[in-house]
Amino acid sequence: MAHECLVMSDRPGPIITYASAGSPVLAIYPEWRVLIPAGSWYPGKTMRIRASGICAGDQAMASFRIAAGFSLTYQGADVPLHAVFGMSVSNHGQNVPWRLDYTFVCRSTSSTVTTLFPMALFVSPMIISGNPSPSVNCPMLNPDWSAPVVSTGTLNANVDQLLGIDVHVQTSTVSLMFQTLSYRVDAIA
Amino acid sequence: MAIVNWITGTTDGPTLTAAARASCIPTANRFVLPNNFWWIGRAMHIRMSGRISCVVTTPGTARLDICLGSAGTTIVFDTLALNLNIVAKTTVPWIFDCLLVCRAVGTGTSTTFFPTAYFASEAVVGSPLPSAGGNGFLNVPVGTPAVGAGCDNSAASPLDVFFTQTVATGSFTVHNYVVDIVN
Repeated sequence: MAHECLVMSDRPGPIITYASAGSPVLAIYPEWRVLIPAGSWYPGKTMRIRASGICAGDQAMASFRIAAGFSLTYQGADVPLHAVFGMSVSNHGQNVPWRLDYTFVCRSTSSTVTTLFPMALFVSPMIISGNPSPSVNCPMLNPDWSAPVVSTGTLNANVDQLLGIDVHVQTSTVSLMFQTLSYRVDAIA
Repeated sequence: MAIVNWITGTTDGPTLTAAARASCIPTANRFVLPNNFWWIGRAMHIRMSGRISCVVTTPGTARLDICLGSAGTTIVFDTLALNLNIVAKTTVPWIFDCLLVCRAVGTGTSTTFFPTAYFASEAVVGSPLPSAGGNGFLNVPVGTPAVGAGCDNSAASPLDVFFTQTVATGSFTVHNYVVDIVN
């Protein structure tokens, strides 16, 4: 099928700041969460999220997690998010860019467990590195640190689902600024 | 014109462990492009991801090549040998992205493509742990960019992707295989 752009942002997302551990998951772009109608999924259906923006933090910031998933409830990292990944971003940076490119392919559908297989990369000078300066290196991560696997959880293909991405601070930190400047979702198969 | 998805794999490719060259995509996704499919400027975008393992000290190299041609064996793009991490890695993710733009069309070996591609993984040489730094990122081919071998545009052409490792101690599996025709 032809690629179909489902969401194209026309303004920046909210500026997310964080000052203490244990904060709930924060919506990067709540107004651009897209409704995936019931029955839309089939094996091979593929969607792609591309987002970019700016972030800032200091050396005390240990890590954060970006979650792309369905029916996100903003209740913390232990909710059954589907296709979730995280990364360490311990470098100091002020308004440095980040870019996320995230594709997921449906492997199977059911009313209880619809599985998706992700492939993704995240690029930013904020990624922990011995060479934090963009003039030296701009590191990237395959966000799945461990062996890539299909998503787990209880995604029901037979009911409407909201698709969105969140950012969640995983460990204690003293500063964080995170903003999405562009956000795009395509159905590509 | 619209970007059209041509292939999306929904199963894993074979897990390759031998020190040999072999097709790495799911067998069911070995698609045959019709004859006269290409024109100058037509582009194909291949994105793949999966898992890779390599051993400490002597990990050897990894290599991906894309084949077309009537037998599906003409190497139109070759990453060349990618040095792997001398620190052992077990089933870490990799991602490969390749845009091939048709530069010339014709019979025999005169249909050629120019690549824009990268390969990224913690298994690339020099990559630290994700808790210490970013994954290794290689613009490929790891040499002077150039068109690959030419194929025959007047013949139907299977599209295949091959993986080669130089030692039998590694492992490579394709999880996702997505091919789009850009124009």
